[in-house]
Amino acid sequence: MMMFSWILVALAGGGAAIGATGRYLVMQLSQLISHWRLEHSGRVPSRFPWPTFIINVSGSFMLGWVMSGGLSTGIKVLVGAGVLGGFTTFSTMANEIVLLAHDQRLKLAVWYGLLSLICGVLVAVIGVKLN
Amino acid sequence: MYKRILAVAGFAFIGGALREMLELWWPFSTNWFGTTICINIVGAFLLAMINFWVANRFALPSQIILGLGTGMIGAFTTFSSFSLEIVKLLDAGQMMIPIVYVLLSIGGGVFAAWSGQRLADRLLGDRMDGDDDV
Repeated sequence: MMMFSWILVALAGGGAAIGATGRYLVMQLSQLISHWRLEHSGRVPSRFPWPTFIINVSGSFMLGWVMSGGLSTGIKVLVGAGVLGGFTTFSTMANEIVLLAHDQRLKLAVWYGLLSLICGVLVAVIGVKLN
Repeated sequence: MYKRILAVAGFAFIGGALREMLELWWPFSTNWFGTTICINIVGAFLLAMINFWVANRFALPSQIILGLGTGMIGAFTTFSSFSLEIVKLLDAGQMMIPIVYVLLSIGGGVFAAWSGQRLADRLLGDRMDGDDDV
């Protein structure tokens, strides 16, 4: 059992600041790419929420790897709970699913949720097994 | 741009620290696996309220809305722990518990997001005549 410690809380907060910034930058980059593709090749962006999906799946892989390794508690909290916990997000996914369903894209909404779940768990297992 | 990044990072500190406090108070085990589920459900509701109600109801700078939603709530909720906790429950040889965990998380999260978006519509609809779908 871990003891309550304000140092761990602060480490998680600091890590989350880094992780969330990374997530914001990935989202911005994805918007730039979508705009660019629309202008240069007329490709309409997919409704599938790729940025959130890629963030969540890659973060799950890294968390599996970090948490199963022999790192110290401080590093695990900073990088695992902090950076990767702040990088990945559940609330955005839940809201995207509702928005897709609301836009009559029910099949895509179900696929998005299901694929996130399956890929997230699968890559987390791979991350754990790598150690 | 740097103001927006600063807002995301600053508010994310609060969200991430709050999540860690809750996870330290009620740590995950095969006997108790509700903390992350609750965090994700509450966060899904709050994100909907921030993006659909607070953003439209209050004249706040867009960086603050971004900070509260993408930063604070985005960092408060987490998908990576969700994945890893399912792996741990599967590893413990459980069959029903991981299924319950997934159903509660995704079912609860989607329902919370839906409730938040609907409540935001209702609250705004009362203020904007002719735009409500009662």
